[in-house]
Amino acid sequence: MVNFTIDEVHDLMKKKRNIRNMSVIAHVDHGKSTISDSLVSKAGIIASEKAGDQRYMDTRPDEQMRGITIKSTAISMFFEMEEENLHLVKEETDGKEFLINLIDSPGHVDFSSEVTAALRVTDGALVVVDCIEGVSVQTETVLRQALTEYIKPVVIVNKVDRALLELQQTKEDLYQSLCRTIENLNITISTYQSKALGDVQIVPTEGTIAFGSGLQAWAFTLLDISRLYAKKFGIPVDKMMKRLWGDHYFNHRTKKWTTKSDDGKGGQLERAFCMFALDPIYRLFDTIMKGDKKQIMTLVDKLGIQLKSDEAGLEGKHLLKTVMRKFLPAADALLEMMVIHLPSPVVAQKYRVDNLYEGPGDDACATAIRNCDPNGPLMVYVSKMVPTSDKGRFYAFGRVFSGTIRAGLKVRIQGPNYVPGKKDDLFVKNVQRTVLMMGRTVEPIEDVPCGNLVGLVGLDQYLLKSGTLSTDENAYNLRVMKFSVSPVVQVSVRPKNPSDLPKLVEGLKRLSKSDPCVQVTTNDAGEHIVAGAGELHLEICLKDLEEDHAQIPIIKMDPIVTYRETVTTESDRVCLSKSPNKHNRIFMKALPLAEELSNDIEAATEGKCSPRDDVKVRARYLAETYEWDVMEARKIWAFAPNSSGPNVLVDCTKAVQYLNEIKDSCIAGFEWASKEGVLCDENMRGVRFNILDVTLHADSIHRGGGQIIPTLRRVCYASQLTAKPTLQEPIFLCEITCPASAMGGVYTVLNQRRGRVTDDEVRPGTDMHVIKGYLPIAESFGFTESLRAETGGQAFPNCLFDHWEVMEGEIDSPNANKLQEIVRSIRKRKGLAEEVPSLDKFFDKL
Amino acid sequence: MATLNGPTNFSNDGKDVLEKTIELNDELISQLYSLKEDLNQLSITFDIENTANIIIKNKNIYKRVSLQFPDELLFLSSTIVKVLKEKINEKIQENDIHLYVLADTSYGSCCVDEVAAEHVDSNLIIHYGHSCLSRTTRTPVKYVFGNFPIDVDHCCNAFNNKFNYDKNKDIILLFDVIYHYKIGEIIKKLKEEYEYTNILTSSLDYKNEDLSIENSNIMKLDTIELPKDKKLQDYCLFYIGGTSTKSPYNNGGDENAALTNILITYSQCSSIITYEPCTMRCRDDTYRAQGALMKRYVMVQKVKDSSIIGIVVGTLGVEYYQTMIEQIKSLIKACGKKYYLFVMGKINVAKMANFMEIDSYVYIACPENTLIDSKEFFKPIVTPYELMMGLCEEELPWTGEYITKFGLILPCICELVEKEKIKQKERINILAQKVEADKNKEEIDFEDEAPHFSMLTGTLKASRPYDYNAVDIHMNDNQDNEEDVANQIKELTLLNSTKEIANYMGSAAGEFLAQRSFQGLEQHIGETEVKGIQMGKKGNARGYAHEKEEL
Repeated sequence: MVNFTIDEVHDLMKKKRNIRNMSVIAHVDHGKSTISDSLVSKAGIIASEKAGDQRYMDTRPDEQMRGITIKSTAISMFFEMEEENLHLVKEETDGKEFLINLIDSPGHVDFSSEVTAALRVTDGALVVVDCIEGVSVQTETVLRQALTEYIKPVVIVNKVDRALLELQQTKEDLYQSLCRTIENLNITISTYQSKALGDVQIVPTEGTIAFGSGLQAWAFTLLDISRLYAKKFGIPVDKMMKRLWGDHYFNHRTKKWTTKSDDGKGGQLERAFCMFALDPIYRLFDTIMKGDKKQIMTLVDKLGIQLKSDEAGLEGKHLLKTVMRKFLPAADALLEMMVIHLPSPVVAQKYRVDNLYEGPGDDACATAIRNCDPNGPLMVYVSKMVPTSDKGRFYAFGRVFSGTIRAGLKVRIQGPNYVPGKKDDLFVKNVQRTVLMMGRTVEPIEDVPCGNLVGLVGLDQYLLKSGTLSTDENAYNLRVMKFSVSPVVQVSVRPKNPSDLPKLVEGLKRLSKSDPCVQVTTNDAGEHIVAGAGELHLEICLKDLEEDHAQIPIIKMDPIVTYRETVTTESDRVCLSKSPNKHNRIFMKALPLAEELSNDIEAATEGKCSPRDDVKVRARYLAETYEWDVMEARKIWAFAPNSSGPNVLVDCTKAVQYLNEIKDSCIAGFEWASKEGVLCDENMRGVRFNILDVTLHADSIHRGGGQIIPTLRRVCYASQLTAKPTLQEPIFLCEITCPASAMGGVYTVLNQRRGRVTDDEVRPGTDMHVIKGYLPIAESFGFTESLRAETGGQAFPNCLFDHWEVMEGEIDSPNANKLQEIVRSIRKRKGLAEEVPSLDKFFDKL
Repeated sequence: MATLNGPTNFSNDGKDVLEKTIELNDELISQLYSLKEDLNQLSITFDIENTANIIIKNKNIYKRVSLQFPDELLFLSSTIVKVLKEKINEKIQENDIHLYVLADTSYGSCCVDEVAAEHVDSNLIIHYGHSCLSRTTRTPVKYVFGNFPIDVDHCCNAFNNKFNYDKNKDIILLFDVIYHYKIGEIIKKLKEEYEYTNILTSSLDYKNEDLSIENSNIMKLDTIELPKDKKLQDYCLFYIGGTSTKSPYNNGGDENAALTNILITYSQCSSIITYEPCTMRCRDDTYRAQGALMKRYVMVQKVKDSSIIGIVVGTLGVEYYQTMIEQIKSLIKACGKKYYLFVMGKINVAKMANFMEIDSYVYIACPENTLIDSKEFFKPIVTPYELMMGLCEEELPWTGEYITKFGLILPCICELVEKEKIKQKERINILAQKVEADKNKEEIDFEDEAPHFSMLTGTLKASRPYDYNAVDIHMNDNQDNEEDVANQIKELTLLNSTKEIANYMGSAAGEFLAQRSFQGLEQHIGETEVKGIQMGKKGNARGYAHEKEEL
């Protein structure tokens, strides 16, 4: 039975110091959902016997079937801390009852955007690491994401049972491998931790790491172990803890602690951690797996574990699970660790506010967020939309950062492009209902004060994926989330029956809402494009589209890769285009931007050449970092496409009359050209266009938009064509784990697909190799399958969009090359003439 | 660059207009080159005898006759005029009948240019060559399509091959009017010789001798009445006519405007076969038709995202065009969007890019000219039907059905206007309440209208209704006092930023201006020294007097 009521939860919501919002994050298959099960069982939501098997947080049938998490799921739980341990909590508390809001997130790299959405609304993260596989790419990625969002991590090393049962590791080996894992984690943490967050390194003796097995529902921190022995040794718990890690040994003979491993008589001492923490576990495992009932019972009694009669009848692994669960219950250890070490909203919002809020740090909203003030102006960040049982409708799921949200409240819904004082992307709407997300179900709740997670009904029509809700007219946005993945893998879909098109469009709209990352658009040829982070992501999206959102049969076309058009040198001549009336001339040259600069612009980090930066700040940065001329850097007219892309239009003219009048027209033409490059109508990337000179007609009527916009577009194309244009193709970073025997197959598949290996490491203590390499996305379709086929199913890839790579070859080379082939095929697909237009179409003679 | 001396050397003497080269469908026209010499054949091909007779018969009415040629037939115009004149002179000596050749048309050459004909006060227009057969309302028109050569046997054979001897197939046969004279023969042959039983074709009645407007020829070319139990999907389409012509608007494409129109309106047919008589090419265009249709679908999406729509009048002759414009105006208004009306002769990229505040244009023209591939244009150009689908998605969902004829669109648009007006009224009521409440500084239960999902950008886009004008009027009605409204606006001016005024005044242009970086010359009132009047520029923009001197 559920051991708490919604009313209790509601009361706890007001005790903001006793709230812990946390996400469970990890690499795929490291056991997040299984661990979450243990926690959920503690709250009585599922039977404790089932913990570890049910994967309660995997709410979709396909999640259960595939055994992977696809959507992040939130649940609220009630946890009562032992009175005597309350003093351990690092901050003030308000009673011994705690509200834990937990979000289980997917581990597969394709669904990283779900992790981002989960992290945004939580303050702490439980990082799950596989004891055997150690720290993987995705572990690093999610940890990095957490730290940049100022989320404090605690760790559980999962699947320790496998080290014992499968690998038969010795205690010392296990200790060493745990050390390595912690070291790896700390390397990542120290790279990305920030001043505001403070030192968040993982230290076993502080109790910020637990060891255990989600499947068997047991776990311990050094705190738990110390408690067991502290009395026996008569030393305080915290001192005991310090001795349980590192080079501390206990000499039974002398009954003394030492830091040297030899016992003074030539013998080896066992490390304290191995002796006190691991030994009982090893003994239990050993005895139970051997199956001698009598010995088992003696041992179980000795450890003070109570078994019911039917439980005592169990054998082997089942018995092991039951015993271990009772010996070191995972939920207790983990919940305690989280309550002690993870911050409450009160603490977290103090340092998170500057990173969260776009507006000035001293306005009413910022202050209310900083103080976590339930009576301040409402500030809610909606991080994702969760489908309801009502088809096509969604709950807006988010976090209340300040104020209190309740049904009937009139809120301002600020979309991602909202700018205070303007009306774009702003709606006013009443909240219909507020609900509490409880895994598979929701519970109605009358109001939700700040510091809590909430589901909102009635706002889904006004929000696409995420947004800020406020009651203050002067509120700025809470910063838009930055995803670590981009929707680079695309496929076009159409209904099997052409008259179903409206249904498809409606379905696409719903799909777009339901996933933080997926993008749906219609291109100029009328194709409906679904773009996802990877093949698996796309597969799931299309399945959802067909079965849930559109509910019509769909034809999936071949996958499409988006390219970017760029230039590789400076234009070999000054290009001139004349306006249609021949009265105006624009002179221009194109040249490439530094790759790092393109990345900077795309990242849009403040102070690093973000399109929103102040002109002078940006100019200084460009001059210092990329050696731009300061004067030119100040005269960047625009970024494009979408006023924020990695292409710039720079005014390099000197003393041209009327130039300010045509600026808007020029920007419009530049926007147009960079959206549809000359090669194949793809977006441009990393191109700088310098307007060198302009001659204009003296009458404003003859230099209007009609004359300038098409001309600027033409001169951009001419400049592009004369600057050795090429394409940039998207590249995946792949991490493939496989045994040594399968290495050959991996290399073969990568070679066949234009991939290249950058790193090849053996995982210490195993014969597993971790191969890292780059793979063009264009070649990645079916990669997983052919890898499986080639290695007998022993290799598993993990692909993540990494960068854009300039393609070799010249577009006008007489010898056919890959570049020309791709350009031609894109043009064909888009219904354009197959040949790239010639220069004389854009380049005018004097 | 520094060598340039301003725009002086731009001025030209207008010779590029005279030297403008016209892109022609070479295969089609080359067949006619010989006609310049062979006058007998010419008079048969262009029906000169008959034309002359009509003029002679009504010699008291048809005193001034305009001859309209498409660009590609202009090279024959002088010869035709000569022959026609001779024929007339043979019958009536010393007549006062004048023949005029209309050298250039305001819109498409397929449409009868009544306005140009009115310049010479014509009583009759003779239209040569391909025509879209849009009905005219002012001047009587005699159509001479020209009997362009076609190999009937080859055509029938191609037909038979494509339909694989399936004699019971439902087939619609359409054709370019320039092959009309042989259609009877072809159908007869197909029905009798090849035994195809289910061929539908359009009727075209043009031999009517009475050309007066009241008795205007009933032309149905692309309207076909299907049997009640059949749908367009059940049919195959066979089209006889030109398939390629170079058009400046088709970016690299080579589609004939008439064919594009047919492809789009008949795209639901199960297959579409085209046969080009001058090249004897026969090809399957089903796929292209669907592609073309989907491109139009994108246009509908673009309309949906637009707040300000430009109505471009591209005809002054097509029947119902005025009603159409009025209806479109009311529809746009009822949907809470803003429109601007433009009258433009042949549209081009530069003309259309002059109005940056417009989000999309709707082009009112004959069915063949209305479908513009606007890829090269700064803003999309759509047809009235697309506009309707874009504005009233709920009432008129996209089904693949497509109409270009005004006559068929009109009843539909009238219905939509009524429905939208009801919706608008509701909107205005709510808005009025809000304005009222704002004025009294009260809080009312006001919710914004939900945005729509834009398929083009994949984001939500707010439909920002320009209903505020209407609200003012509405309030005005209630208060019967203009001053109050004026005061109210003044209050708003004081209370809100400039942006808010723009909204309340419902001025799309005002909003656009606020976004521009260049907002006109700064006045610097009181900062500039007062100076005496100075001499300005002389001459015209092509090259002012002082510029010529500099040269």
